[in-house]
Amino acid sequence: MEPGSARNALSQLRRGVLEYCVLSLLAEEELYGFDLVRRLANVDGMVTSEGTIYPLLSRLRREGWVSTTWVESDAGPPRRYYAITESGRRSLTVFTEEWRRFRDAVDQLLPGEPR
Amino acid sequence: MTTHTAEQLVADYLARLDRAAATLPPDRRAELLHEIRDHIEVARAAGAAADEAAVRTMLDRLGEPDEIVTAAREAQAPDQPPPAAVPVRSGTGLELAAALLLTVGSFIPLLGWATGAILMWASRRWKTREKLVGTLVVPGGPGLIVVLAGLATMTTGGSCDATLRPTEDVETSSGGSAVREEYTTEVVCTSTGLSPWITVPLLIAAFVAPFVVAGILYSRARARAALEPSVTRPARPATGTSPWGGNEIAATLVLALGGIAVILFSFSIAMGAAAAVVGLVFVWASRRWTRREQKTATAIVGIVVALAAIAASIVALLVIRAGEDGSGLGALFMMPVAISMIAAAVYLAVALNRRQA
Repeated sequence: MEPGSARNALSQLRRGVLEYCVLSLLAEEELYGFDLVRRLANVDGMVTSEGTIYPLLSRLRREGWVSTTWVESDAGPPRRYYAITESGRRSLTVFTEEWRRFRDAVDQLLPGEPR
Repeated sequence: MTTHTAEQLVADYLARLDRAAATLPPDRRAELLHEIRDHIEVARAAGAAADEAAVRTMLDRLGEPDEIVTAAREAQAPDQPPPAAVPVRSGTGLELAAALLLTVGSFIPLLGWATGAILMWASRRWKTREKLVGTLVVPGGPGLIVVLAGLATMTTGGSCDATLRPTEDVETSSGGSAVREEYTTEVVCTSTGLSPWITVPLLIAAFVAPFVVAGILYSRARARAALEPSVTRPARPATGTSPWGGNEIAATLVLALGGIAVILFSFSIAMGAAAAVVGLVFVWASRRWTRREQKTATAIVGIVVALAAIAASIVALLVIRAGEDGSGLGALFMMPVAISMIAAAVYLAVALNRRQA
């Protein structure tokens, strides 16, 4: 297998996990789209392209895990304000459990720092 | 000069994004462009992109338009359903529609019961045997039984004799010059057919049986639906599924056909009202129409009904005061109501069909 496919696997993993990271941020507090994107981008190694978060947010909205309201702003157009929904919280809980098990399993199997 | 270049960079970027997004469905594309544009505006308003270098950094951080569009395309059809998707069973709207139309809906002559029967046979949750029972008990439904009962009281298979007899004259004019003679026709009917002791219970049984059968069939359908393997899908209808479910079909059919039938067959007010009420029940039971659409449809029918009722009452009062026959008023009242029902059905159908898949 080429080293490129390792990068591929990771970017796929990142894509799959990103939405739960978004849900997790929203579970703590409601956020404007812009702020949400900035926070994610500030975590090193998480996002390579900020723009790709917006389609993700659209999908979360369509699935009903996230709800949005438009808020008037004095400096410019109305902005979307994102909040997590009940079903979003439920999915986040389930994911967090499964992720922890998965992450621990992978860490055990991979060479490197002993736990 | 710097601002000019910054504007140029942004315009360039958005143009590239627009071109790359050409392969997306129009609403997703518009949404994406809108959001990226907003992001840039907010960033600039916050002073984060004051000069050309800062703008370039910001656009870099946003990422390549192709990358963003790829993400948008993937966001439409995820590779596998999210692990925590809520398991959803497909609802029993179709079976409920059938059960209601076969019973209550049978008061809408011909069309109501027929629609219920068609929906029943279309369902996959009933065995053929059960569908046969549902059709044969009773064809035409309780509505037909009521009509037959009405006919039965008029002709019970016996014989009727008519005799002409002079009535006792009640008054003679004082001068005795004119004596009024009146004759009355007396009709005596003797029924030689089945005695009422048989026909009445039979009719009552035939009236009640369809309700019982529909109830049993529907509860079986629900029990079967509960045992079906859950389909994992997101809380909203998935992309690509048709928005037309049992509730939606029933609602538009009942409203539209009810309205058409009122016009063609000069329904009584009661039957028109039954069609409108049953149709609106399905409209509100549906999860595919937004609250706003449901309220609009109800308002279309409700407001017209209210106005027509007021208008008809006023006209009726005037007509009766003038001593004339007010029997043509039913049609006057029902015509606008029928049109409103058809209009509501068309509005709802268009709203559903406009949903992007």
